[in-house]
Amino acid sequence: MKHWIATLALACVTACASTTPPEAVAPRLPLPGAAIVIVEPDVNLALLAVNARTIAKPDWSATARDHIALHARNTVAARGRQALTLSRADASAQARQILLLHDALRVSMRTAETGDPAPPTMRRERAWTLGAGAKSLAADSTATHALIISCDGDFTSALRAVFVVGAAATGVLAPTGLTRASASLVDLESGAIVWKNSIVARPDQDVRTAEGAQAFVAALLNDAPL
Amino acid sequence: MIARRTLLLSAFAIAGCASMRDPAPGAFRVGDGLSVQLDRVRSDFTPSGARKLRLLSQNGPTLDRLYLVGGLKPGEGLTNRPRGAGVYKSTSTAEYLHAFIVASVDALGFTAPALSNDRPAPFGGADGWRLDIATATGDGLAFSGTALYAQKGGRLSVILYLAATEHYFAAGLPSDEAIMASATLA
Repeated sequence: MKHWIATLALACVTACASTTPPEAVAPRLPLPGAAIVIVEPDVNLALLAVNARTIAKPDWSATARDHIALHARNTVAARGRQALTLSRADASAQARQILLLHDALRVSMRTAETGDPAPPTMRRERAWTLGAGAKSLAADSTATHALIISCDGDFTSALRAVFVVGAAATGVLAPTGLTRASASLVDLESGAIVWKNSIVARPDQDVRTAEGAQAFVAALLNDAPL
Repeated sequence: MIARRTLLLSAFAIAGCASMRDPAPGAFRVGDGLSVQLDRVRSDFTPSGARKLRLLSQNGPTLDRLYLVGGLKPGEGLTNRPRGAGVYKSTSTAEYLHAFIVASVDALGFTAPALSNDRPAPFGGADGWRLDIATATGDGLAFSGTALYAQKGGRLSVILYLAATEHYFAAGLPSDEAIMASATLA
């Protein structure tokens, strides 16, 4: 069912057609020992109520944000890179603009990945960039790259779960919660997105728990060139 | 910080794409009387129901937008149901038309658009006006823009380019300047 919901959601961003201008850019990956800025993850969790309304849960979001940040730092350190952190509250005005630009870029990257076919200037293989302003994410550090993680999720309430089961018994598919995350590794010199990934959480990857978040981050960063 | 709202709105905006034929390089006609030369293929994100407007983009409408509007009649606007200053009047003064541009950018989903550097500029053989624009998305992502408009035969044509101030506006401006320079009005 989650797959069905995800497919339906992704279908909403498919559109238009035609030919393509690939932009080949050789990615500059982090060298051993390089410093990587881990931007404070952007996490927004909510409760999916019985009437399908979502109720924001700041406490869940804060807990999950801490778990995800911790495991991202541990992953970077375990792969021989230096993990630096950037709090969104402490980011400079330009760095905040770059993070907002990344949010906007995610929409286009998702369209490029899920379009069937994707719009002609937004093919899957094209390169994406945040531009030279990405340097602002390094602040005064010697970091060469930044890791940006975003996570959105809805968790089904107990009453909603009962409703979903009842609806299913009558042949009606009612949406349940879904947790989705994306990660981007950014070359701070050029602004190029050198690696990206997005996943949907499995049932054992509840980001509100330390264990679930660890499994979630492991899956998200599994093939990251950190 | 993000923007679930923005992502959802963007998804709807993208899903609202009306045309399955993205414009190829060459002559491209829009609405009543506007024709431009496109230097490269563009992705078409024109909203459903738009008859005299085309929304093209290189990187997706959350990053850059090129609105081409051909031959609006009095009572029409850049959105399907224009209101207030976003309604074109054929007797409009330059002052009213500047306000029309501001109201239209606002109606397209941007916040507090501000105009600067307004100056006369040719538009397809007509006497038009050129304006620079500073605005932002609802989430605060700064956008820069430039607009070129002219009235001919009681109809208004507009070329409006808006893009994220960080990287994308400057990256796309030369191409969109060339489109403005290529415009003809019938």
